[in-house]
Amino acid sequence: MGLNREFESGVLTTTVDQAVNWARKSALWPMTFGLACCAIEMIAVVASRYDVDRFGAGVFRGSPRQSDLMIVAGTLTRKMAPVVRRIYDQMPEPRYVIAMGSCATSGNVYNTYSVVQGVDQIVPVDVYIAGCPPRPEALIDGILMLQKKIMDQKVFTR
Amino acid sequence: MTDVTSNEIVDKVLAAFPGRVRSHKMFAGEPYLSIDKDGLRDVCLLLRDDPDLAFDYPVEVTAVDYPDDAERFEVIHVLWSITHRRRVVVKSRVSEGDCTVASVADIWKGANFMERETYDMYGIVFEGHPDLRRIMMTDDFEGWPLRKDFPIEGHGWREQFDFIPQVGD
Repeated sequence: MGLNREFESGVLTTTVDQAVNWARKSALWPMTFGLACCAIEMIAVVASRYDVDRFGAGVFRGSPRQSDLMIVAGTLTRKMAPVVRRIYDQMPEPRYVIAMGSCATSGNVYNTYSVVQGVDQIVPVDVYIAGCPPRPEALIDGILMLQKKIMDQKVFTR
Repeated sequence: MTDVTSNEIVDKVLAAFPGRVRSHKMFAGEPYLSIDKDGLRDVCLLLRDDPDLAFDYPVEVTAVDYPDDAERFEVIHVLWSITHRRRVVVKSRVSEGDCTVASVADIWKGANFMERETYDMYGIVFEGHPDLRRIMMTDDFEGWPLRKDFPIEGHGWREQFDFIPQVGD
């Protein structure tokens, strides 16, 4: 009885899932992985006009070991595919992948001998973004979608 | 300008190697020489070393596939003279059976990578090239992608992901 009143102000109750997921989604550290023209839109997202830092995903890293989100932005060729896979393997878990644009999603018009028909053939993809290239708003929408997805995760089970 | 059928460059080459030139024409004010592939190096050396020609810059080495022709491939050298500010196009034909042509990588160093690219895409062997390897495709790639009989989707290489670690690796 007395206990209830004592903690009435200044205490929040939540679940571990909620707290951990909130922390994870609020500090996504993306890998710069610009492969083609989509990279220009990705750069625009980081810059002042669109400012993805508002959503906590603005700390682009050059190293996979410091990042937990890989934005595959552009056409993935078969020659580049082992590199993408290796970088994905080097990222610490939990890690997420956004396939940005039609090329990363499906190969786009490049139904050719050298282009991988979608990065989901070599790494698991969380969010696909349509567009050629997608506008910065679309990438931000994709990041928000991923954040929603992270909030639904269970921390202690996979 | 379009009715000009000859010019100084063509005349020089014709005078030096009358038997080597199969045909020549002017297009858009620039000379095009079609020569025997055996005379390619001689013609190139003349084009580079003659002070009136002085073609010192290899703009492009490439090829075209004409699958119905007996001599299937046309190797094209586009040359530019920085000294005289003019261009010449030298074409030579190569058959599929004898798919070789002399390298000009020692005449112009810039031709090195372009010959490698032409080899990579068409399988034309440049004899005398110092380091004739694939340049754009990986070493394990099979086939010559820009040949007309190469299927545009390839032979399955783009779906071959043996680098993905498997459970138990």
